[in-house]
Amino acid sequence: MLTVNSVSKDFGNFPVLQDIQLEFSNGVYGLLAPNGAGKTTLIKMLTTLLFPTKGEILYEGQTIFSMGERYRDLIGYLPQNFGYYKNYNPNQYLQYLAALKGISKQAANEKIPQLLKLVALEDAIKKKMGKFSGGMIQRVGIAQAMLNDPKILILDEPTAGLDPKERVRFRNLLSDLARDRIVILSTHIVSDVESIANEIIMIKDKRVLYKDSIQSICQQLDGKVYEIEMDFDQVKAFRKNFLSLSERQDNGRMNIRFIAEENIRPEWKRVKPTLEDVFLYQYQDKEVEQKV
Amino acid sequence: MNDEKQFSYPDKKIIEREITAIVKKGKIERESFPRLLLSMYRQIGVRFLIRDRKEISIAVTMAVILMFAVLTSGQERYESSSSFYGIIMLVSPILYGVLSLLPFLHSKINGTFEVEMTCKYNLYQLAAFRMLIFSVFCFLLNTVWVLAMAMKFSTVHFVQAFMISTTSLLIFSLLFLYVFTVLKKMITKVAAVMSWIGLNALFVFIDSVVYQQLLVSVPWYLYGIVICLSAYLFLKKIKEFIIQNQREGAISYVNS
Ligand SMILES: Nc1ncnc2c1ncn2[C@@H]1O[C@H](COP(=O)(O)OP(=O)(O)OP(=O)(O)O)[C@@H](O)[C@H]1O
Ligand SMILES: [Mg+2]
Repeated sequence: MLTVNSVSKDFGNFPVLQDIQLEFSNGVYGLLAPNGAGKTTLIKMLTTLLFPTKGEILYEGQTIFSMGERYRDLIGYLPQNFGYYKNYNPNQYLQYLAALKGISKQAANEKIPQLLKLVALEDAIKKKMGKFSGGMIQRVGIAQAMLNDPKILILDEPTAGLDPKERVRFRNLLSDLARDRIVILSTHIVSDVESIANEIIMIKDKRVLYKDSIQSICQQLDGKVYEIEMDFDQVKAFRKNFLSLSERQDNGRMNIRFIAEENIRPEWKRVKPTLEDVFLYQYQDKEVEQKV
Repeated sequence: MNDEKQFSYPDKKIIEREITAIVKKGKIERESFPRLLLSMYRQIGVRFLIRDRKEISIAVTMAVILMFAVLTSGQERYESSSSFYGIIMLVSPILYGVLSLLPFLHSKINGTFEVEMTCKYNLYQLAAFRMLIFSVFCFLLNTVWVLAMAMKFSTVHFVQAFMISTTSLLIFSLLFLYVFTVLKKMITKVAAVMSWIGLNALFVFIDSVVYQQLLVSVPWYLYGIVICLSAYLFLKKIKEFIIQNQREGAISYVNS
């Protein structure tokens, strides 16, 4: 069990996170928040890179900072900007990190080809990483995080740069892994976590807004999300009065998904709220907020 | 009510075993320092401890060439009895400093710091281990050089030169470690090392007579004491660096 206990983090006089209280047990946790909300900052504290300004982070009751290498031995981490040595091929880089992670050479020789296969890089095993595409680098990063079979897997925007096929592969991989470990992944792409996360954590205004299952998070918008079809020239006026969630063209007319909290009209088609709706609703721009 | 009485306690031996297991888990147990070094060496191996062989060879070669040049083309000047001591004091610390900074520079340039800092053996431990190796290496290289200098130049006395240069190397290594733990930003670290070297070089080239008189006039036992003390502090600090480098977050931001 990993516990974040009233943690705050300031950079100088600039507070980024305040009084964060979280508990993690085995399962997938999706850290979902817009750019600059503090996802990476929280993750850097969980990986001992940053020290909280206030509060403490405990693993099985011990602060992770005093556990030192015993804690680092338990974690696998993919940073948001995953760095690499250009003159290494993925095998050499993973051998190097395996050595740092305290994995025996024999075990590493067995594990590395497996992992590279898992991220579909078995053909590029002898290619210098300096010649890799962004998505390929990212996949080496994912493989690297799983090298030591970590009890706590922490991934900062793991799907950035992955094509749809690789995204699906990654998602399946995670749900297999999460059975007996803590998996925390940050993203601002809702569909990345929608199908695999047991719980979603949303951060807003430096604090935890939700830490709940997708179902219960979506419940708050029950009966507030509608769809309507209209002509193009009506759309502008409509946007002034309602929070439009998505708009798509359909046979020369506009199909709009939106939020309405009162004066519901019978011609609107009520739809089931999704996580994306909640995200857009919670993180809407300030001027729009007044409309709803 | 009777339920409580019927609860059967496990065998005393089992209880004791469980208690020891729990206590063991709770205790923060760390390997002893030499054992940690040994397991680090066995685990990581020379291949990755000295990952940047190319850069290391370049630095060592340049230092050796410099040493050789001083040895073969140095002119003895009798008016300043020991014109070489300043140079002897400079070369090894510079080499040591460059070799010790390399992993941090690599990590910085390639952006691998975050991954390397969150591994079981992190970059700090790796770098400290290397500092230990390189301090011994630089000491040996330096000793050979000083010996050769003493044989070639009559004004260089081996024991004196050996004491002076060893002191210089040790004090520099120690300062280097302190600079590293106290200063947080890469630029300030590099700047601090550079200014120490620059200051020494300044003494050598500007007002060498007074400076070298000072070096020579310090009695040998004082050098001996300083050597012992700084060697002890160096080892202590390296140990701290390796064992307790994670009391703070690995990235410490300078609040300003
Ligand atoms: N080293 C730093 N010094 C000062 N401020 C920082 C530092 N790192 C992050 N911040 C600030 O903290 C806030 C949160 O940054 P963080 O990187 O945690 O956001 P994020 O949620 O990961 O965003 P993104 O989705 O873009 O990755 C931002 O306002 C950022 O400017
Ligand atoms: Mg981020």
